[in-house]
Amino acid sequence: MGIEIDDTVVMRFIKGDIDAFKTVYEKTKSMIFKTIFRMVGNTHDAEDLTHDVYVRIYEKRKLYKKEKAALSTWIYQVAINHTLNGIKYKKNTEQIYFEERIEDDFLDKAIKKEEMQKMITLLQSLKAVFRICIILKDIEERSYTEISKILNISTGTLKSRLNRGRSQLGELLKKYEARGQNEL
Amino acid sequence: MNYKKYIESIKRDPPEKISDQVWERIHQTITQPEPQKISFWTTWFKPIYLVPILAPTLVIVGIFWINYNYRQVEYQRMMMFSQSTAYIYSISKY
Repeated sequence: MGIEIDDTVVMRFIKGDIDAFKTVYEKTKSMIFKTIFRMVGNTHDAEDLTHDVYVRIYEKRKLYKKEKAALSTWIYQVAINHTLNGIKYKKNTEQIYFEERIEDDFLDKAIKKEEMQKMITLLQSLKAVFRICIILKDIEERSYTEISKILNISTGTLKSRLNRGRSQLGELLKKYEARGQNEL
Repeated sequence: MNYKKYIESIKRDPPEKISDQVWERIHQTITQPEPQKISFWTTWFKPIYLVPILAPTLVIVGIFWINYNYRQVEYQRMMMFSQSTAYIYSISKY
């Protein structure tokens, strides 16, 4: 993951030391927040989820097995699972909302927003399982092995999800492009 | 815009910075005292629940106790009777 956390800090964190936990938080917060932000698409929800993720990490710290994975990988796993669950929880309302947005006023809204927000919103239209694969592989450039470890899926499943996600995103981009040109 | 350009644009623009308040919220959540756990006994065991169990037990024990005492008295009476009969019988020989 590229984030090195000192062994003594890890040990102190497992024992429940708040200072050690803060060190862990400071080292990993940016990485976790970036991914969650890209998953949910807005700062408010991303901050809420980041809060929940770190509270959960602190509560479940004793379940961390040092020999299985690095602490940052474990934190990443917890964060992604929590985010996916959070998205799944809202699924019913959110899914309908996204579908409507794609078909009707989503592109109009996206054009009005700033470029970055447009891009992020476009990514939100994908299903969470495809979105996370694209974020981890194409945006954060992690290896297949690393991602399959984080998501706890096989490399084959990962590749297939990535492929489907890419093609769906490609279609959305085409739609977006077409709508933009028509308006201009 | 093709796919590659799109991904590049997302990569180039870093997401907004996380607020410092998030740590304060985390800290507050993890340091606040845990709510007192409600134990099994305080939830499910109340002295009043003993009444339907103890009342018939006491009644049964009482019956046995009275019965036992009654038998004791009967036995003593019988013994007294038999002793006096034996005495009368023994002196009647002479």
